[in-house]
Amino acid sequence: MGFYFAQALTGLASASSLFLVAAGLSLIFGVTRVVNFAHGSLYMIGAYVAMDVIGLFGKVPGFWLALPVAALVSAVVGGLIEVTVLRRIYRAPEMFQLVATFAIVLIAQDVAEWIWGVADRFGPRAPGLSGVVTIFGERIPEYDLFLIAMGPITLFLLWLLFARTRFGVLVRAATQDREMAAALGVDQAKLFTAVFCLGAGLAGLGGAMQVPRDAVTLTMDLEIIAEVFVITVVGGMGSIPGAYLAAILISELNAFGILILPEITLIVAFAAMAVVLVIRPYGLLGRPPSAPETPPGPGIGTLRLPAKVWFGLLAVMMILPFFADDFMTVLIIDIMILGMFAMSLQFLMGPGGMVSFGHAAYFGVGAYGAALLVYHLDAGMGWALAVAPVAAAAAALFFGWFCVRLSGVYLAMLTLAAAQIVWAAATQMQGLTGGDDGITGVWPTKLFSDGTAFYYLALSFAVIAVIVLRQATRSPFGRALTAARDAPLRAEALGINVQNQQWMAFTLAGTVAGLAGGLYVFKKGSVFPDVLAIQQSVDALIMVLLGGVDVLAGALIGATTFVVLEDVFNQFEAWRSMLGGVILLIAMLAPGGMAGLGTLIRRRKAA
Amino acid sequence: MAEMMLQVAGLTAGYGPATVLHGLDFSLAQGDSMALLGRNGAGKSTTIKAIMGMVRREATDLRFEGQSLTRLPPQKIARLGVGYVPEERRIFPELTVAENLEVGRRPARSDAPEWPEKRLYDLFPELHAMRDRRAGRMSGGEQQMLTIARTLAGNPRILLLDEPAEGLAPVVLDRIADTVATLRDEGLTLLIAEQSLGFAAEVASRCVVLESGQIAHEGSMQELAADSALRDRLLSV
Repeated sequence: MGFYFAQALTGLASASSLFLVAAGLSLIFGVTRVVNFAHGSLYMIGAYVAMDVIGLFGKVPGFWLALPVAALVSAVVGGLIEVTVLRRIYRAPEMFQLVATFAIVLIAQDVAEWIWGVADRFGPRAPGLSGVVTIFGERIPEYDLFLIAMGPITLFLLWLLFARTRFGVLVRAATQDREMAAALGVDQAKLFTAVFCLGAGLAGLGGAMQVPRDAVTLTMDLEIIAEVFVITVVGGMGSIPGAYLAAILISELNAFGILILPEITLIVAFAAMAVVLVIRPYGLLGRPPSAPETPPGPGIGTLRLPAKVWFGLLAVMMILPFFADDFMTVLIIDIMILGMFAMSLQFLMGPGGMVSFGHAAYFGVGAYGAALLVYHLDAGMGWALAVAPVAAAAAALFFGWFCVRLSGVYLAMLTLAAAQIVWAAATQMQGLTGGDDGITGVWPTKLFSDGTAFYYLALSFAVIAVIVLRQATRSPFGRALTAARDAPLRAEALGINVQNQQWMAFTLAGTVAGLAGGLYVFKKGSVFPDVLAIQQSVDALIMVLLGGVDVLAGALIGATTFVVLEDVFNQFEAWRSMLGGVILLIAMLAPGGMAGLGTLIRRRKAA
Repeated sequence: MAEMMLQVAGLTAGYGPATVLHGLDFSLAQGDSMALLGRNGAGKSTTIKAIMGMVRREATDLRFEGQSLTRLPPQKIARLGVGYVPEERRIFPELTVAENLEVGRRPARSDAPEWPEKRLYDLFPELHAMRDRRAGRMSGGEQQMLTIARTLAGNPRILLLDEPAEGLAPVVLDRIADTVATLRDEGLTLLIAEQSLGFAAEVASRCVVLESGQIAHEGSMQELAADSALRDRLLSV
């Protein structure tokens, strides 16, 4: 009995930090409609700043000074991010906002590494709370009790702020109808900055509060963000009490889930999320999002590559190996594999209108499917490549069923959570997947071990992918999908089963991604959990963004640009920041991507 | 012309690629009350939204008390004393009545009458009884009162009303018309986009009739009310 009680208290203590970070994210989303990926970075900054303050002033009074200072520093950094970046992209499509905030994550990682170094840091116990109390015969850390109290205290203070102050009233008004609030003279720009500072400050405080419990690392930003996404989705985006409930629910499930399924606790959280979302699609205390202010119009890019251009491209690709050296050939194989991956995402996002932040799940399942077959069953490359898309399709079919029940950012966050599950499974199920050591020695059969032969294999797969996705886009299925994207209610009224169409599209996109993943394994000869990580999903998004989301060919242009950029940037230490900078520039300057750029220029000239 | 409060010259505006208004010219002096009339889709609401800076404007000279509004965002225009009462009320449904009024509140200004809370509740005693009720749970008529009161809380110098009579029961309509007429008599400048001729005749002295985004007629409200042939030509469907 006592043990379970102690376990429940541990869960409650973990919930507090998560709640603070999630409340900040939810708050920012409620007012600005931006899902701030960089929220994890602000949490990380809070933790590092707390360590610095403790280092400077000693444990006493350092630790107690660290909490407000960390909150303040994160708030200021958040304010700077809002003013310099987010303010410019409030009107951009969701994908751009998500990718732009991810670019900030990349830059923040470099800056954090530069300031604080790569070594993990371990904070001291909280002074005055370093002891334990005995409850029901179990020893409970005093600091846990402090954390448990911080949750309701913060909730109460936030409630006071929003219910009892003019600032709170204005924030709530702007959450419901920004345009109307502005027409009444409410200065949105200041309000948004203030809300962003507040949300960022909460994240920083959450980070500082974790210092006595966890190591401070450079990866804590993305580690927390997936969990926080789950909490905000379960609690209901924009609802702070919802975030508290969900933080407790998920933390308790984690605390007890670890007793049942010690290897894959995230699966428990995901299962909980799935149940909640099936019953309440907008979370425990969330509401359906109000209709977007400007309905999505026709895409910017109207560039459609006619068949003869595709054939021309194919002809060039056919003869290319005769002119390219080995290095070039390998680079082009990379481009083709990533191009297939990006095209499958383009299909999902363009015609399908579904932004996935976890598309790597299907690429990775394809890759692991092929690798596991070779490694454990000694299967040949043919079998492995056949199984890769099938395994990915099965995964997409499963996760897609949940995802298509939502739309917009909710869907994006759910896809990310799904990908994190698969990633966690790959890292934690060491017996099967080798964990972080991955699976190595997966080489193609003799016939394709030659670079040129493999090139033609990749090319033929890429051709199949182009044909399948192009035909799917232009088929009645693709038209129905686009109709469902532009006007879901009207499409329903016409007899289109929107969810079914989207489910099929999700599965098709997953299948093609899986095929790309299968090829990838044989090209690299190995697979690691990286192929399932957030970074991999974001890479695909960046490619689609670079090329333009409106055309299939955009994904290929994007993949080419991406591979070349990466090759160039890799020589520099700060390559992540450079990549982030490029993404920010594109998101702010050319929201149609490169394929859309042509249209944009033509339109400028015509005007 | 120099003493005109609101001057609109060559107002051209629209949504996305579509242009709805094609060069409107009109102006209001302090204390004027003007109705914008016209059939559905003539551009009445767009005119109001264009003045507020809520739709795309081009080739326009818009002036309020001599200051150009053309490049200002809605919140700056509102802060100059332009009060906007939106179409379909757009109250904040999750906020209480008192909180809705709080959102509209602006500091007192020397050049406009002040509307402290008490005066708003004197104008609409119904609202006082519902101060703590969530606005989303009020009737359409009550919401219409709230949306007017909310804008008045900003102590405006001019009131732009977008279809205030739309969807209201006749008895509520009379109540709103009386109130707006009172505001006019107290000297508040009014610009009202309206479908209902009866309502417009009660609250406005002048009118501009729009047709396909252009001014088809301009004159006194009395003249329009008296001339049924003119009315048929301009407004009958």
